[in-house]
Amino acid sequence: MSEPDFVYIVYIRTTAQAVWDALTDGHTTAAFWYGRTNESSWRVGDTVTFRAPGGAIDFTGEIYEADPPRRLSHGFFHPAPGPMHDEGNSVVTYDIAELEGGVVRLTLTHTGFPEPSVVRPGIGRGWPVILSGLKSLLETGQPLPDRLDIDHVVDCQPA
Amino acid sequence: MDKPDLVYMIFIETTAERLWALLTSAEESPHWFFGNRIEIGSAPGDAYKVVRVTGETAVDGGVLAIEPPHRLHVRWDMPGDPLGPGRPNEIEYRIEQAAEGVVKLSVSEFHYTPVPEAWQRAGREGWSLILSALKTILETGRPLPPVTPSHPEE
Repeated sequence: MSEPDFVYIVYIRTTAQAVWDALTDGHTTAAFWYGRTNESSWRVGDTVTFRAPGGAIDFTGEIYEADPPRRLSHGFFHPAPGPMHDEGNSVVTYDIAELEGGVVRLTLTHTGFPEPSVVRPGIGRGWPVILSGLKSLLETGQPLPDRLDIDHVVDCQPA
Repeated sequence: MDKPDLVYMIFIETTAERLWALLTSAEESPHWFFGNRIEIGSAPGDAYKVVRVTGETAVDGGVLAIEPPHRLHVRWDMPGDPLGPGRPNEIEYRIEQAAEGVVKLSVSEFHYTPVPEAWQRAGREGWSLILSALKTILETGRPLPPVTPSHPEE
């Protein structure tokens, strides 16, 4: 048995390249991802490392697909000891589609959760906040106020 | 209340009052609802309608609960429901303060009957577009350019 995939779609007035750059340039994620920066060559088979503001590695994963600026897929694994580490790897995929009128549809799919999963409830709360912040940043130049307490965000139901 | 079948949510830098006004305004609704106009009463039992630009009624429902600026719960009857007439649907919008200056908007769907996966997918795309459009209007002062959502293939 496995828990349902998590899917979140957001439409952004921007370009596919701008979405790709925000996700991969190593520092822009800090503005909308609870301060996390990332490091990777984004080449298939290489590793991506997400760091918390204090420098600790929050999660890491192998790059499975990288087709800039349209599709990126990588593993999602907590290296620090604990239940999230023990759950093993899940998979994060971004599909970035340019539509008419200068609008991009970004589809985030997070898959590969066992039943029961200790990782899925947290990512269900986190992705809507992160991707809402990404949309704000790309459309207004400003991230959402960095005051959103993730513990007060209700879980997204399986969709 | 029963557990919703689907929930969508988005975080918007605005106030609950501004979001409520946009969500319930007949004049502004076409900017975020695929050109459709929403007509809504002010008390439970009043009508709730979604009217297409052609004048055709897409949704002919009623207000179940209305608590400005935090909660709107409506019956959502589609006269031309492709999944068959008389299927009960309810939609609930909730607006909550998520942080200083930021609100969370969530939309819950209650179907009471199974919804095919293709329609769930289309619903997810459609609601995502609606929530994204509301956020763009409130944060940038202008609507998201029109986008045609995909339709279910079956």
